[in-house]
Amino acid sequence: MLDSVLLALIYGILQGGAYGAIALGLSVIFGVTRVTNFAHGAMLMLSTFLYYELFTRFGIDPYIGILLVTPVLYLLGMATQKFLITPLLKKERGTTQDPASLLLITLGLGYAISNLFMMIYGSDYKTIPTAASRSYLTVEIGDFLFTTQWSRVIAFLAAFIIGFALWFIINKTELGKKIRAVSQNRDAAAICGVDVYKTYAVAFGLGIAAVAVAGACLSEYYFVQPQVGTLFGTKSFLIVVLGGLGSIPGAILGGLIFGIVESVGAQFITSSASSMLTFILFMIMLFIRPSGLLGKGGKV
Amino acid sequence: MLDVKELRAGYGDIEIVHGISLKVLDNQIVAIVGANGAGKSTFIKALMGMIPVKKGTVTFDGQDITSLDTNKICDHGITLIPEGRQLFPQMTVEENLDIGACTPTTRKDRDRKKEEMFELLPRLRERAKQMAGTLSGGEQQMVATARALMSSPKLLVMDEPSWGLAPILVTELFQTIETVRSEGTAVLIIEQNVATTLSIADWGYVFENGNVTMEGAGSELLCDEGLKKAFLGI
Repeated sequence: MLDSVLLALIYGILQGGAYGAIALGLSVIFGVTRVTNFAHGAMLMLSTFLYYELFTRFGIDPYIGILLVTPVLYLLGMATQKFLITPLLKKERGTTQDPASLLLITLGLGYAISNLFMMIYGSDYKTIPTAASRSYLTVEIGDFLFTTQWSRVIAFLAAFIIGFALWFIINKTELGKKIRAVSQNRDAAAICGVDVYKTYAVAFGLGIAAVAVAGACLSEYYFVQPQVGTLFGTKSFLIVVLGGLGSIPGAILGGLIFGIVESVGAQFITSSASSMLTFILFMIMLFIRPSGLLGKGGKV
Repeated sequence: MLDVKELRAGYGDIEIVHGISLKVLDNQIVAIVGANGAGKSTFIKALMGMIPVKKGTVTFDGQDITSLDTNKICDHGITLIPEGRQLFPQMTVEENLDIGACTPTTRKDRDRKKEEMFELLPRLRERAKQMAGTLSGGEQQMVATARALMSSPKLLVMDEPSWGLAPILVTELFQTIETVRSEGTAVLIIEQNVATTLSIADWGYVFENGNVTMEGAGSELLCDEGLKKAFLGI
């Protein structure tokens, strides 16, 4: 019993890392643009199909495919901000309306992408049989035996690599200075000469590029299917709120907690009920600490 | 230098500024005074491109800058010290100043300007590595002023700079404004502190319900009986 809980804990931590890796981009996008990107999951899914195509057509491993897919998704993120969100922001400038249209546009985009892929690929579950997905890590300590795919370990580590990369860009570069300024006070950044809309586009691009990297790691052990995005998209929202909107360590911490609760919970109740646990955890969090565990009021 | 003609602006369908014309000449200090709700801040927001201009034109150094994006207006050489200062609270004082000179043109001079600001306001050098949000009100005002001056603007616009400052600091603030002008930057200032402001202003405008009801040399307005009654309580 104790062994199985310990195993579940380790699997939960590994899966939680992957959750964190996926949620990071969403958190950064919200922290800078104040837009909840409901198309986040769909963009993750889109990236996994690009890796799938690269692998089946050209035999390119997703880990290598990152070099090709990430720049494409960066541009896709920038374009989303530039052509869909910024025009709405400009339209609403100087009005007192609530920007509900901003939420709806990313939601619509998400559905459009999911359905497009459903149309092209159907709802079959595909896998990418890479080398990493077939090589296993085994840890044996006395009677305790733990085995997992290397690709899951890499997905866990990816959270920290992506997190560090984003942290570095935001805190240690000139671009990051502008990103933080826009995040902390958009109007003040504009009067200092910062091109706010361009900064939004860059931040959106970075967030989507981050999810593309996470997508590569995910596709190394998870199936590729048009509905995958919805699943991970929803979880990412919960994780980001749990960890603190806009917070990079928060997204990773939130992901880990989420993965652990889900995995360990499944040891005691059915796994669908353990999903429910995570939602309950999320709702409790909203009551006791709405800004999340490591939140700084929604700023990066 | 700055020439605003018949400017109309507001929020949504509500018009707050009903056709205001105003000029700032080279090296002038121009004051805008008026009661709360007179449309002073709305006027500034429209001027800076933060809300759309419904009608009228804003010309700066012969170029039409009406309704440009705020950052483009900054590129033309106008910066604003906004009401309530609006610093980047979770960035250091130095980073706040850096953002003040972050366009390709202004960035070249960043280090030299920063040094200049530390000379003008020595307190900022001591506080350089501190988060702006942890500073006192007076220090925050210094950061806001320095940040706006980092880009070597031709025109500095100040919206209620004395807001929340102790009287001694207000005196220092007005000294800084005069220093800024003596170094060749024109100043457009909105202030509650009517007497002091008009005493240093070359020209003043009185706003009332979104219109200019009076204008004149600062010293003349100071002597105006109606204005004295309305704002100075004497």
